[in-house]
Amino acid sequence: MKEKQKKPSGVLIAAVLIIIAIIGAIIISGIGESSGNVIVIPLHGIIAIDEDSSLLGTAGASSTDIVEQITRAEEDATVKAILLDINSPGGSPVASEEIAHAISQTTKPIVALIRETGTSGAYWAASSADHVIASRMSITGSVGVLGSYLEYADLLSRFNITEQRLVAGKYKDLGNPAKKLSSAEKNLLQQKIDLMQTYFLEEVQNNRNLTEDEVDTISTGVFYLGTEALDLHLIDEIGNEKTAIAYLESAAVLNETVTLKTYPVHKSLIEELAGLTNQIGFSTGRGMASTLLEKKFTITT
Amino acid sequence: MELNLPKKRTFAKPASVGKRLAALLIDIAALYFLFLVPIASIALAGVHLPTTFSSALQLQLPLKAYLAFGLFLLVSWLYFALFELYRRQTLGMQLMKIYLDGKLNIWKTLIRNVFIIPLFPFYLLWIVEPVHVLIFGHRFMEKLTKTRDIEFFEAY
Repeated sequence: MKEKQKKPSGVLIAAVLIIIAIIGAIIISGIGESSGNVIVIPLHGIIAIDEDSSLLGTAGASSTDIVEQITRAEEDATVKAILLDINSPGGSPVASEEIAHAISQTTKPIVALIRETGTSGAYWAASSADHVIASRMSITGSVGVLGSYLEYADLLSRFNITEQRLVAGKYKDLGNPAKKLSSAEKNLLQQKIDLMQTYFLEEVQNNRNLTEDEVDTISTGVFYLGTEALDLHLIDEIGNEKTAIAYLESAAVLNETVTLKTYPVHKSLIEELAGLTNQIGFSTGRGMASTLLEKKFTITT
Repeated sequence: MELNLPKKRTFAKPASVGKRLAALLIDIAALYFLFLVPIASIALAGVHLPTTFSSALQLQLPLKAYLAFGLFLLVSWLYFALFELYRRQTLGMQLMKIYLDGKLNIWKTLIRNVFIIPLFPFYLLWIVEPVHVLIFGHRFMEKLTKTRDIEFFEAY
């Protein structure tokens, strides 16, 4: 009598296919061009010191990671130039300055490519590059400092909720959204913001060799389209990734064919799942909620 | 009072459109997590890929990207073929309680799932198959391979 053939289990079939996929991927990873000569470093999302990714959230641009990549590219003998791929509205002033400083310290050519948005702190970083390219409709500029927050002192009093203020130091709880901002406190905060704005403008002026008139023009904090930014010498060229590659391949820069590569970013499963969520929707919601619930007063460029 | 009703019997009918679609979506999700993520992580580590469709059209993709995509297609094709051959169900079909009926061999299961291949004329099946299901209640490839995707139901 013929023995009934045992069917392989689904787990076994899946395991065999996964092994085939992994072995195939390992073989492929060793094929083709072994390395590129231009590193692409992405600067996407809100700039902060550290990345914050959760299951429902989305990661921004971490200055720690970006500075590390720039340092690594600087030490990597196979890398001849850096392409900074920017799509960011800005963020933390300290984080933005860290990135800008790291860029200005590199000895290798660095091109900043502004995609949809490169404003505020992201523009600060871009201005440090040797060559800045943006699309004619890119949004850039916005050289200013933002410190607005929601004050809900009146809302609390309407519900008979009282905050017990226990502080040592007159301005220790400056920017506390649970209490009314006095005019003296407002002036104090405004001074800090104005000082940051001064630093920001100085950096951009030095980076882009701007005239005093041009600095006065951009000091309003308004954003500019790519074509307007070109007229104000905030960027060097209108174009896209192809333009950036052509610039790097030109005789004035590398004078050789450009092959792009990135440094691998190892993502956890949580980070992979977070990438599936709607970035804009969650970030907007989280930003509004954190303003109400978290604290106080944060300053962003 | 005993009514002596006949026992309910199990019948088979062609799987419904909704269940077929749900099963396919589940399988696509499984393919993404089981194969695409590991393949891309290993094969394309350090490779710069265009992030938009328009820039992908402008720049030539590196050889590794094409090879990795080809590997993913091959493994996906084998996923559908082997699961249908040995288990008569893929993961999606199992969750949606759809079964594969008919005499099977490896060629039939490969032909049934040739829609995976993004080459002419196979990619036309992405249009032909849904239209065929909506009109006739079964896939065109089911007719070609003399197999059926069925679901069971109980009735008197």
